[in-house]
Amino acid sequence: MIYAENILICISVPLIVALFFIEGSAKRFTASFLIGMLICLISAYISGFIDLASGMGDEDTAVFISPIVEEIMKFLPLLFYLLMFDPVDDNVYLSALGIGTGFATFENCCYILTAGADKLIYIMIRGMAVGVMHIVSILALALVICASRRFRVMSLSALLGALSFSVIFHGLYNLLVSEPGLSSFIGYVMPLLTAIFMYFPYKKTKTL
Amino acid sequence: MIVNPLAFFSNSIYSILFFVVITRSAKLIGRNERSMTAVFFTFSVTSLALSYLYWLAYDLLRPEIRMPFAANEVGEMACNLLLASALTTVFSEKGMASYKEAIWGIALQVACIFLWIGWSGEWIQDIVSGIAICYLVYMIVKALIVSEAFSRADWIFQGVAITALVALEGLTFALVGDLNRAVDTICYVLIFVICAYYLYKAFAAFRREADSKVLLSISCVGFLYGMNAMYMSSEPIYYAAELFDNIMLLLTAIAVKRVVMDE
Repeated sequence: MIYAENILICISVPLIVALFFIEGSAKRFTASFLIGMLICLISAYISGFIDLASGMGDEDTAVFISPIVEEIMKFLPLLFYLLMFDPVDDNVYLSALGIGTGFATFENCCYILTAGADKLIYIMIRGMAVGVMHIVSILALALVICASRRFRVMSLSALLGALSFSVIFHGLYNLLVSEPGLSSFIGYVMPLLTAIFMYFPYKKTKTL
Repeated sequence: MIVNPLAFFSNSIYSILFFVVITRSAKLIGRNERSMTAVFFTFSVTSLALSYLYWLAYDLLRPEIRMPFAANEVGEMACNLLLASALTTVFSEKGMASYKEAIWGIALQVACIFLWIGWSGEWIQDIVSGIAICYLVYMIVKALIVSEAFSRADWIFQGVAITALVALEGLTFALVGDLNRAVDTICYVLIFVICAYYLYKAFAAFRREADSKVLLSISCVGFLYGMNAMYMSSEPIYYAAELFDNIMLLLTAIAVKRVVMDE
């Protein structure tokens, strides 16, 4: 058992102090990063609660429930930011990436403390798979949000569509890595390939 | 062990097809302001592809275990919502000239949702995914009205044929034995008569090089109908409906390309 709250406090304090001394994009990214870590912890609470309440078991909860909970939790602060501050596109991407990175970092920290960090290859796979997966799923969300805002078609359908896209992407990743062998390998490679594939539409959309 | 080789094979083929559609559609992004339609369409097809891949992966990894809920339907929901958003970029007019078609369309879709609940017993899941489809119905009806893709006779044919189909499908719950089988057969015939009608309308529109908005609205209504036809069919007829649905998706991809290039 690990004490995730203690880990969060340990990592957050220097970042919170740093927030007072930085400005602009750096401040925005750091704040989003902190929020990402916090919602990772809250998502774990919610998934744990659903696991206990439904009796689905750890593995089924990780495969079926966690993607829904985690993507909704990542989406909520981004939605709040959009509705309250009406930021420019660059800031939406920055905040989305901050939330995704914070989420992935905290999840990886907890994983390393639970499973150990003695095998470099596993740690690299973990970083390049889960880390990138959280960034890709929230970047896709931000991409659709910015596209719909630019074309003035920002609607509930676009938002929920983008959220559902993130959920199925995350769900497929969790399903693939839940079993050892070839499926795990495909799962680990999938986020990185998607990140490469998404880079071009991302760049093109930004130039419009 | 694979539970259903035919499902596995068709899912594999369609996943490859979707990948081709996604790459072709992604190439349209960034051309002009109209390419926002391609952005939404690309994400929509990607969601559908992920849904198929999810099913494929699940079939391979856990062939003996039933999903606690059909998680892949989240992908189908994303596909429908994002396709509706793609239509919004083309048909951005507020409101529409007539609401009676939309009300009737949504009423029929709600009736279909009740049929799905009757067949599967999955209340929450069918209602949640059904709401997304109802919004797509609204957007497609709006697209059909704005683009004037259908004549009055077409609207009447659709209204009568689909209402009859839904009513007959509902009747199968009350009938047993030979009568049930007879009505079920009539339903399948009607399903594919309507499929043939949409295919004819779509190909006729493409052949006469109709306006890109007309092509888009007709191919989208075909895709929507194909999806309902799939849910109404059991195997192996399901695969025929799935083939029709994916032909319509291909036509939608071509229509999206024309919409972007027209600008």
